[in-house]
Amino acid sequence: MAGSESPVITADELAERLAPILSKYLGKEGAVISLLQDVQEEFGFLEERAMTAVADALRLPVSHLYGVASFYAQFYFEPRGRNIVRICTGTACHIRGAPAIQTTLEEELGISAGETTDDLEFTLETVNCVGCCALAPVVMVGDQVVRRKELQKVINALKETEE
Amino acid sequence: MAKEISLSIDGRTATVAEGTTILQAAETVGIEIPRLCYFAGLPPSGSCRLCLVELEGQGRLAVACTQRVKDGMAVHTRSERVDEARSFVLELIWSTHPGDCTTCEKSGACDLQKYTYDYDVDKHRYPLHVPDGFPTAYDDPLIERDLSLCILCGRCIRACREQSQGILDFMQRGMATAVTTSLDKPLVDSGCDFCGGCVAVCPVGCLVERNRKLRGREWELESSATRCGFCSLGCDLIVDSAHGQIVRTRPGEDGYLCVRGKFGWDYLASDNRLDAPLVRSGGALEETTWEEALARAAKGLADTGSVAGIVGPNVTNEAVKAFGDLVTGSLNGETVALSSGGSSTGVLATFGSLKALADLADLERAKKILAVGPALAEGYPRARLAIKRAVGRGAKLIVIDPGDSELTALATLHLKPPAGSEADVLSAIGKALIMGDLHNADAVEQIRGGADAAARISEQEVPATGIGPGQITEAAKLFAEGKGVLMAAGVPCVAIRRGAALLLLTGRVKGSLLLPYAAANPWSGVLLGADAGLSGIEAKGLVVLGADPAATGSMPSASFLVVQDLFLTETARKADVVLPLRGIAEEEGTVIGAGGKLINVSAAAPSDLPATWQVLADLATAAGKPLPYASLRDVRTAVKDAIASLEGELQFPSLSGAGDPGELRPYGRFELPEPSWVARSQIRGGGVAPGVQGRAEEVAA
Repeated sequence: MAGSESPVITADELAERLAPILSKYLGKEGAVISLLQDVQEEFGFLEERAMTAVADALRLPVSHLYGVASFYAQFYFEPRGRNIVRICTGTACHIRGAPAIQTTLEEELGISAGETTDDLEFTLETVNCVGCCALAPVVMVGDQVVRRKELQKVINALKETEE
Repeated sequence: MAKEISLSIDGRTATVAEGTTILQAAETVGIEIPRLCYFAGLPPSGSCRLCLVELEGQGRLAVACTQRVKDGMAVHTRSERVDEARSFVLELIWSTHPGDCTTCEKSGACDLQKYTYDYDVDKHRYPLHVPDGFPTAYDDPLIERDLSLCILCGRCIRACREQSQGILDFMQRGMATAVTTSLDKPLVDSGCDFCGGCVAVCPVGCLVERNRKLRGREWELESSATRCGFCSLGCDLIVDSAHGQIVRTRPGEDGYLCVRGKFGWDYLASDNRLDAPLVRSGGALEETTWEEALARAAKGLADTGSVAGIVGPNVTNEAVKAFGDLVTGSLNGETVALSSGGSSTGVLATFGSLKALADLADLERAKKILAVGPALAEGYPRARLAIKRAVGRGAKLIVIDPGDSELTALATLHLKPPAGSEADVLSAIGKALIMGDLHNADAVEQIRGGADAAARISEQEVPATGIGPGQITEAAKLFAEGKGVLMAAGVPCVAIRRGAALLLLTGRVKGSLLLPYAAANPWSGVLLGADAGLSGIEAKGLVVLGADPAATGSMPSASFLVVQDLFLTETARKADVVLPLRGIAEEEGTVIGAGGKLINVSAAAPSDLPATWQVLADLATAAGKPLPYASLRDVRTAVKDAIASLEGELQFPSLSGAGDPGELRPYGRFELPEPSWVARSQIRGGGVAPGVQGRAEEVAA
């Protein structure tokens, strides 16, 4: 699967990076989501060994944490790319060509929507609306909205980065 | 005592304790409220909404499985409103369920099938919607999962958390919700220990035992209760059979079976079972009649001039008693040895009394638990559950184990000596008990040799174990008082003796020593008296019952060999006469339970073979000296008398390991079969010939 190769973190490093997060939340009621958010912030996604370590510290089955985390769209279980490319597929963008943009970006990056490139440079996603339908069709790269006119530039920039 | 509350349910008056739920209160007056997510013994979740009932004076329907009763409450469990609400709930659930009842193993015992019938939900008013992404098949061994049939009741999640590893939860959300493991991994990679608790509570056909498939429909099953024989803890077991063959096993009242009890039964149904006697003819074993085989056996043994017997720990007391009488009486033999290495007599000599032995109930009630050895947590899951429950009620747990396990995670104190030095740690704790005056001096005085033993223990030089004196003292203080149980497995018998001394030092002489053992009836050797062990056998004629000494290289040489066993074992292959044997689940009689009491077992699984005591009696008759038993009842009476005569005076054990059989046979972790369950059973069926219940041991080994 694309992006499943995470940068290797040693067990010691993992424990060291988790320690401050755990000490912040241990003993607090109702803090699981905040805790998981901090873990994701630290590692970029909910790293499996980190989840196990958190579950052990909370004396909960790890399935319980996955049950909570998988409920929310904000949590990721695989590494994410350094650049998140979101194609808006809302009504306005759809009518004005979002499917074609998606096809193009998928071809350019060599991944399908929802996946991450092997070099962890890009994650490609579709979103339902980014709230600027007047600019449709739009793509977001990180938190920058990219308009249609600029799209070719973006693609070129992406290509350059890849090289 | 909790306050009593009276309420009316469908016009009947129920009087129940405060805190009871409406659903439970209804059951006390014989009204069963429909339920899918509720399961007695598990915490209620109130999620399926099928148990809705109407409360007089309340606008909204109430959830009967979670709402507690109130004084004067008037409940209606059937009314137009209630029925309409339940039908609607069922229609919604039904709209996500494919309903392939013709081929579903659960058909006939499916709660959804029952309720859709009861409430006449016969059409998909809402179009069938089984969301994409629900796997209909997983590669898991033993348990078949088809999530398209799942109705999201969550019983399996709660059962897994209550009694096992807690590996399941609701994953994702909305229409994509699925009950599965973390990251939807296979069960085997999720820490599942395959107790089958999830299967036992699943109301529909989503979770099914692989090995029961296509063996019989639910309405064809005949159920019979007995005790599981895979280890000496003897869990309640129900055997379901159809068409003269076993279909599956399930937990009895206790609600729990481990992987062996739940899935290990299929050795009984193996094609490899012996079903007719064999006699050696021209070098090969050939099938013959019982008469011919018994006559050959009697004559062959008589011709040798000297006979000895070897019996295994997986047959009933009645079989052991009849065997002892056959060998020493009818065949004029001298020795009857236990294949399990004299462990029962050796260990019981520790106390001189069977009353010292503890069972699971003792363990669950204990306030102090001292668990010794590495084989406990994984080898005996039911004991692990008992400890978990005891600790949940505030019991203190001391674990002596070189490694970490699920038990050590529960421990108040975990001592980690190097492997093999557990006995010395126990000696050190004993010494600390006396030095710190934490022992029960009065109780010690009452025991024969007590004062001497206490003096010896306090004066002994205990070799260093790497455990500091602080921890030893802490352990002594922790263990000193309250109902205490010492449990040991996978350690040398000398450790058990020294542990037993600790129990006597603290005055715990009853129900305090739990020694789980990888066999159904390990203490049955006490019915035979002294036991010289296999190495002491010099007779030329040998009778072996339910034991396979050749497989362990401890087979004495013999010129004429008679073997009775389930399979053509390594020992049986060398025999002159081979007699088929019933498995412990196919035999009526008694075993000596973990608590030292006689426990009834029944012929719960079907068998065409004669009862073992009867075969042995027939052999005695063929030898010209019949046994003094006309029926099983006669043998049972003899067993009871023999057990009663065993109650000796309590004594301190010798603290040396002299004459010990080494180690009680422990179960290790039940390793899952490779490459797949089916292939593995075929391999078993085709070649490996396990002894009585050897199948699970073979897998465990």
